[in-house]
Amino acid sequence: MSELKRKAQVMDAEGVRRALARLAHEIVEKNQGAAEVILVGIRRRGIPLAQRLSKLIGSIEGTEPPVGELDITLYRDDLSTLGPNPIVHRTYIPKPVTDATVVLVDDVIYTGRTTRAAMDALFDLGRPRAVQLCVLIDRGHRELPIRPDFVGKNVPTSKKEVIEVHLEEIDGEDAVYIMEKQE
Amino acid sequence: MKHLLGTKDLTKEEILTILDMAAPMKDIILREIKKVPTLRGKIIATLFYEPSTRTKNSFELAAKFMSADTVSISVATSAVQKGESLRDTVYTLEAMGVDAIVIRHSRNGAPHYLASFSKASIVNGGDGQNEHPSQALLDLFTIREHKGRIEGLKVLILGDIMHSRVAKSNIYALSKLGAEVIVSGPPTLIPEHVKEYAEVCYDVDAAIRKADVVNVLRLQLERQQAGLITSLQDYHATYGLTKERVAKGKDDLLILHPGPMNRGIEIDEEVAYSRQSVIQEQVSNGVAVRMAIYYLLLGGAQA
Amino acid sequence: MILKNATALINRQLQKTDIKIDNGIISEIGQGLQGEKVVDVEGMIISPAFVDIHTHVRVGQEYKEDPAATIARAVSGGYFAINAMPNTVPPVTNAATVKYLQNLPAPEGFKVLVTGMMTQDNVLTEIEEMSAAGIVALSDDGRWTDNSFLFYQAIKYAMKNNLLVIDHAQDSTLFRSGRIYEGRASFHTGLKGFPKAAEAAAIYRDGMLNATVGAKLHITHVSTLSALETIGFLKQLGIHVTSDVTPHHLLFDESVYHTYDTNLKANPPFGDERDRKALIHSLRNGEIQAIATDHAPHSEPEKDQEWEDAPYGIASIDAVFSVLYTELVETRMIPLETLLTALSTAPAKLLKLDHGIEVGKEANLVLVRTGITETVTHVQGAKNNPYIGKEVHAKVEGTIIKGQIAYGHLQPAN
Repeated sequence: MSELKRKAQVMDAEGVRRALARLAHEIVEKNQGAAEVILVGIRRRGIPLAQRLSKLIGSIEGTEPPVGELDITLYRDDLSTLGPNPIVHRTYIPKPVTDATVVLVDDVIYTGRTTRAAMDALFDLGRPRAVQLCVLIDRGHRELPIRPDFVGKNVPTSKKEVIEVHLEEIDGEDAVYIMEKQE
Repeated sequence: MKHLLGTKDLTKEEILTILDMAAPMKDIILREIKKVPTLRGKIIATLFYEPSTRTKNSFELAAKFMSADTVSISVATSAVQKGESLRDTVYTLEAMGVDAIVIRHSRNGAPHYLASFSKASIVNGGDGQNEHPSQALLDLFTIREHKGRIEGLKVLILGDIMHSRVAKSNIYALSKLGAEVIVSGPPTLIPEHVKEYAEVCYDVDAAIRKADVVNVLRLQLERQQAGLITSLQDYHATYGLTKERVAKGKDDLLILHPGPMNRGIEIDEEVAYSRQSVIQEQVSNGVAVRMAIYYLLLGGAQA
Repeated sequence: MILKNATALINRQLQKTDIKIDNGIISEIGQGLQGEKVVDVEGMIISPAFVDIHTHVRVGQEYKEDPAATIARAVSGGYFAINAMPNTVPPVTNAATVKYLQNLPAPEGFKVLVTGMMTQDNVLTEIEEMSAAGIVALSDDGRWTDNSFLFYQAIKYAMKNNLLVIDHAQDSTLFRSGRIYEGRASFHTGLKGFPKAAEAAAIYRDGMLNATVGAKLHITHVSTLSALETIGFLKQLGIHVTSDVTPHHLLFDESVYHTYDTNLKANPPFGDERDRKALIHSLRNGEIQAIATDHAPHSEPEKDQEWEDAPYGIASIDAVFSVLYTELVETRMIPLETLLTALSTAPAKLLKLDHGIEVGKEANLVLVRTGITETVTHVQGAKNNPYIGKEVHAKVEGTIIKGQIAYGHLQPAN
């Protein structure tokens, strides 16, 4: 595996905070409130993002929408190329998804394959009324006809580059970096 | 992991990984759409040289829940009866593109023999008196679900230890995870060497009193003809898990049995269906654990 | 022929000498011998050729190994005599079968000795006629004579005819319940175990029955410490009993079973490390007289199946010396002299063969070289040889039978 070298910072803690606040407002606006909304974080960094969005929406609307956790490992189309057996975690959604508006939350959208797997996983749990996609970073290079509904920041990248999202809950800081593969 | 031949060859970490993976698998079984696409395009063969509906169905359902295709070969319906060798049967399955073979065989080491030349992953579905690793793993998963841990638990294995592959696989796995294993049963059915892993306690009542978990083994009724037990009645009276014995044990004693049960011999009916019994749960946990095993063998890139 | 500059085993001691052979007989031993057909064997060790007290020649089951291949393997392993066990098809129960085995095609001077069955279908075999035909021993090898009464009668016939009684001592009711000895390995493999006492108990019965009879009772392929202790006890009582051990029981213990390698499936099974050490110790101090190969060839399909369904047996007569030298002599567990004696003159004596490096005796010799590095390969016959692929540090350079070079590339100089 090639080494990654930090190339540039695209967001700091304040940037992440502002982006999430805006995303919370956009979700409320698009859904005319948040009563029917379930925020479902895609493991791993989608989960703390969904939890923060829930709090932010709660501060706008008065009630926090429920937060679910989705593990998509068993639905990935690239399992056999990933190296031996990524760990599978439990999927937990506190409320039936059928007839709910599910907002999938992830840190970065790239090829769209993760989102496809997440939708497959979601539909095996029930039939939502609508599914929306919220990401902190859209880095382009889509390989599937998938487009996020809510984007924190568009960051054009080359395929040699990698986006690293750091979150307080997991990494001890809020920041987004562009990394470059070293050959 | 390429093959699953026995718990004897697994590390503590590997056992824990399987148990951890079985939890999300169990969630899948409990939901309405009991299927994930993970093993789409993979073929899993069950090759059973001994009759067993329960284990075979469990392995096949687990494969189907993971979206693998299954092919089932049992002795009564295959070329096996025509005297085809095990090696040739495996070559045939490989030629059909089979990715994993679950084998149940009366001969000790039959899965190890297959693993010595097979390109497909071999899963030991029970070999002779040697090992039955998936059963032990589902037992451990069930125990952990109820007790929250394995380490430090006193687990009593009661009955015919000598001839029981379930007992052997449980003993290896439990001791690797730090449980205190106690075995009890007739002196003719307790192998001397079990002492390397377990405390031998011939006093069944005393053993039950200190146990957190009791795993009751099925008694093969032909042991009497073989001169190994005195009589079935005598066995029930001395070694059976009766409700009187359970009443003297811990209140939260967990009762397991790999099935099928000889009610009234190694276990009383009331005990089998009591609140402490998790015998039914073992069956659904079995499917979850086998899904986890398939995932670990076939899910990722082969290392 | 003169073998120049040899290091030869004479009276159990290695000494530098030349050996002269005329008309198949050793005619002179000493330094600086002169004559025609000189072979310089500098660097080689010459021993009386090997004698196997326990060989399975597969007459009637040639698919396992053709008897010609068995004999060729024996010759290449340094042997000039083998003692054929009676479990051929049909078994050796009468004089005709004895003659057939004795006359198997073999190099000039090679001896196929024959052992007759002791009992068959719970009656005595034609021991008297077989004796007249020249059998050297009686045995129910592969199966202990569990009928004590019949065994007692049979050893009386053995005594009268001066036959060795080759005893596969193993209580049969106990053996029926298992495949390997009860212990760590039986627990770890699931293979059914039977108690080691099956061997000692059988030896005790047979020894005590022999106390008043005085036949030449010989316990073959001893495998356990308790068997050795029982033999020791019988000797203390003044009961005649000798014994042999196989190369594999000297080299393997029960820990090998976890691989389910059918080429390591033999009966009796392997004991634990203590048993193995006791066997080596007893061989070293002479309590065990001989090494017997128990060469038991089987076909590939028979060995290529589930362990429990594969037949018992190891076929390694061509590799025995090089493997034993490497594992036991080089590691200083057994002196070379002891190994060579246990392979040659000791079994010869049990089988009443007049054998040794001595003027006037038939020139049956084996030439070996040590300190080399080679790999055991399969040359011919059955493949159930667990030593194939093993690195060894000795080899048989040549076998001389009745004065003729039966094996090897020994070139007389002039």
